[in-house]
Amino acid sequence: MEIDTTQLFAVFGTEVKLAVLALVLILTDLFIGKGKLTGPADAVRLVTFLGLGLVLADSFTLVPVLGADWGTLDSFAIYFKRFFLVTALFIMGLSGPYEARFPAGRAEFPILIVFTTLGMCMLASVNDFVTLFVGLELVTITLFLLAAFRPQLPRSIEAGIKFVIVGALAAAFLVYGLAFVYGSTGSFGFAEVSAVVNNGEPMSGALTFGLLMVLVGLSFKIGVVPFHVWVPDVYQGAPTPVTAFLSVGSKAAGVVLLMRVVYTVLGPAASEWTTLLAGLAGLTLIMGNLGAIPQKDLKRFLGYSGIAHAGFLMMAFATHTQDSATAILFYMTTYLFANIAAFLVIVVVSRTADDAGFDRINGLRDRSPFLAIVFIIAMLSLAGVPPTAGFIAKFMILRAAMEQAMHDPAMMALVVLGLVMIVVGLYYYLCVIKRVFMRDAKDTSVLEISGWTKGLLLLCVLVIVVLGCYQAPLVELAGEGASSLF
Amino acid sequence: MIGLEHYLYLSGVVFTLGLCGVMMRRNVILVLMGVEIMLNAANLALVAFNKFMLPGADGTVAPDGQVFVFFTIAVAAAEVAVALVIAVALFRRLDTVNVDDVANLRW
Repeated sequence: MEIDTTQLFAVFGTEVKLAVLALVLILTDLFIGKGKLTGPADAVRLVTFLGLGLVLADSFTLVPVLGADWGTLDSFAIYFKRFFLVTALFIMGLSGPYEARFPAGRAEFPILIVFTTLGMCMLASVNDFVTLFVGLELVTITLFLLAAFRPQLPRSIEAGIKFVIVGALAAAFLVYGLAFVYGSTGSFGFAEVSAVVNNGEPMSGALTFGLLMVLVGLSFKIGVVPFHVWVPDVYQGAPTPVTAFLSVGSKAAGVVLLMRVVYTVLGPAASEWTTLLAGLAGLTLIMGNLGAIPQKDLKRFLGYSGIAHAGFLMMAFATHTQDSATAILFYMTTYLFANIAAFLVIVVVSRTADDAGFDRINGLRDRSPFLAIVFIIAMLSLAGVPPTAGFIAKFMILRAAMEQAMHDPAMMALVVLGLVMIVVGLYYYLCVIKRVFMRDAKDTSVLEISGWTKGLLLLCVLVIVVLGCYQAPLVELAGEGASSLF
Repeated sequence: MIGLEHYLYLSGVVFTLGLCGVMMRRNVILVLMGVEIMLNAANLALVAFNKFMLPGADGTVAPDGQVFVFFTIAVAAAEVAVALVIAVALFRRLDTVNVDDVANLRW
């Protein structure tokens, strides 16, 4: 296969820049401020912010180019590249108040974040299963390290070891599935596989088996039942900025790949899989929402909430129309801002403590009214209450599903279940909000928030509220991204 | 004559054995070995599929499947390196490599 270098740089330009940035960071760590404990880490952080900011600014000049079988830069890829870069910047901002707790490896943390982002941006552009596998493993392996980034803390190691075993298992399923997809189509390219899948004949057993295994491997990533068991444990044990990265970046990476596989590779043939996808969506919704109710730890709680959100995303996959793809893109963006705000509040309120029990937000209203307001808005957005962005996102998914439900009883049942689960979700999010007002704080000291943190929180809340009231430009952007999948 | 199906049966058996190892073994190192066995089963299937693939229009078979195996091996090596680092950290901190002893995160 001949590869045109100019085209390669056009498609994977962002990734090349990120790789250069990562190398620059390693050199910065090596040469600047040698011997001083805080010197290199601060220099590395600064360079990371600058570099990621420049790459993000650069990503707004990207225009779709004609891809090849090894990669593509369509408007869908561009949308998600920007998404991942914004996520990485937020995670860097979020790790600011937290990173004093890393006794070692303060400089390595941003470097690993940049490598993970590189993998995620690569995943946005995949057009064949080989790139998919390599990009996915780049993301997963760096996240293993990040989850176990505080090795003196038993819960962080536990999160790391559980994540490693589950992640490696998912990779094994994925490769085994790819072998059968390759065996029955003769190619790893999305276009070729899609052509065989949609050639009018019934799918062969080997191909169905292979695609199912690929689906299983990717379901691990976004936490779809029955492959969700690792999510609460890893979310609870990992350092908080890493949990935020897992819940937003890693999940979005899984969503990107599922979108490519379900919308592009399966294409029209996915309508035969509706019942399966709808069943998974239903189970995920039930498991995530009911599992969240008895939780006592904020991070674990957000883990279950993340499973519930994966249920809504699966509902959109089961719907399988262009509207549902648009809804997923919009949903992920609203989820990004609400989750970052929630995790940033958790970082601030848990201070130097290692756990994030519910009692940390007790009486938050008296300790810091600003944080209380931010936390409430983030929770309401996750619950899907107007006028927040989360409401519009859920509404778009349900509206797209409703159109399909008119002629598909399975989808009808799923939509009804989704509505019931929104009510259940409202219950547990409001239970958390109640603690902000009704419970007395254990520790009544006033919380100090740095200017940076305040700015980040304010930005998140603004975006959540503005998108809730005026979402047309983002919906248009999401629609443009979604249209390139069809 | 050994055909494609023989390789696939073998790969299926090896994959299942690996999965059983992951499920039943309690030692972290052995669990990781189970995952490696599963990956190798997939590699075997990939190579076998490539070997028995019908030639394309130009009468040759592109070695895509065999090339992919190199990627898998490289990635698996990286994965094991990281997994062992975490296993060593586990042993140092908690003095165990038994997965049953690592179950403090639950509700």
